Amino acid sequence: MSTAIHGTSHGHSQDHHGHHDHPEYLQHHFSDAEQQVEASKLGMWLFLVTEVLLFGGLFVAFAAMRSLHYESFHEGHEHLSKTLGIINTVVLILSSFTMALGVHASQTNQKKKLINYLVVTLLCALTFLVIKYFEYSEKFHHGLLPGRYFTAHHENPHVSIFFGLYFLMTGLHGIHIIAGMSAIGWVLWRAIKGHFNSEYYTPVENVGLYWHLVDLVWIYLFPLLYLLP
Amino acid sequence: MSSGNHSHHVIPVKVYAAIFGALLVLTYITVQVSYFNFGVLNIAVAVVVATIKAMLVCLYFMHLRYDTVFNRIVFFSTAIFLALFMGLALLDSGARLPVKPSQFADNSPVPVDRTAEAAAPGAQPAVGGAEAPKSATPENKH
Repeated sequence: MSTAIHGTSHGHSQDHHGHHDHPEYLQHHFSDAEQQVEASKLGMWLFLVTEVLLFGGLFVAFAAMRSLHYESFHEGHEHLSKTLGIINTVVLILSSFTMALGVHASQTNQKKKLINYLVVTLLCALTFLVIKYFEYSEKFHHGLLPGRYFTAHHENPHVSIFFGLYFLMTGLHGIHIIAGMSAIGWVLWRAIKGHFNSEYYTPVENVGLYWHLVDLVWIYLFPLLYLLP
Repeated sequence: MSSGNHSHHVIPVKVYAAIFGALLVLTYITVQVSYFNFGVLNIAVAVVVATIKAMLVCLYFMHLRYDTVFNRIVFFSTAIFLALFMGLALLDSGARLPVKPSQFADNSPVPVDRTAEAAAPGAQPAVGGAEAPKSATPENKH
């Protein structure tokens, strides 16, 4: 009883698996819950594909500019703090882990665990943003800004291009973090209301997929921006 | 492992914990490796380690290993499109301009070329701008 808490809002007992006359969560245009889940997940994967290509454009720009202005990019990269980058990487990997555990908790009907994991994921996301805020304000303070706003002392002429791409890539990623946090907040609210159980947890799963994609992008951003010598 | 009537494969917590550990170890490796200079291979090493991490996240955290074949095709085909995108774009930018960054990039010849290029198209709008009002008035009369 302490661990297996069924969603109570549906009001029907679930003592036989796989047979529903008409579950509340099943929309009319789907023939069964299975089809609804598959359609929903395919839609999510297609959306993630467009996200990959959205970031892909910036990665292409980074690769092209880096091959042209290697010295400038090297100088720009020296201004980034490896330590803060590492901390943020660990924080995001941890948040991905807790999100995966959240999906696991919803698959196994553990409502309290689901809520806890979602809260931890949100806290990790917030930590990431706070660290990013300190990084950004330090860059602003030193005039390490994109294009003509770049006022810092520099050895090579194109350091501003590095910071242009740095702010575009981490900024777009930061917007995705905020969007992900909103989505997780929504799922958390629905979890508290008891909308999810082992039969229906598609929103948890799809928001989880989105969150893992945000982590995936950072997995590439971190070495390319912070580490590459 | 087949997703017959039981499509919701529940991955044990142990597996998630192992993947989490592996991701941390790979992060440690990629940081340590960055202190060595492999020259041209630097970017390859970084991207390979990142791709291993990305695969772990995809296959286990995102359940792609246990997902439908179609979803797997959809997502992994992006890699092909991204490779095309990046490959062709880099071939193009590599062919247009001198490739050796040390000779070229940060020393000076670029701005000269760019201003020459920028001046030519810049002259056209000025002419076009002068003509535009003339052509605009007859169109208004029609």
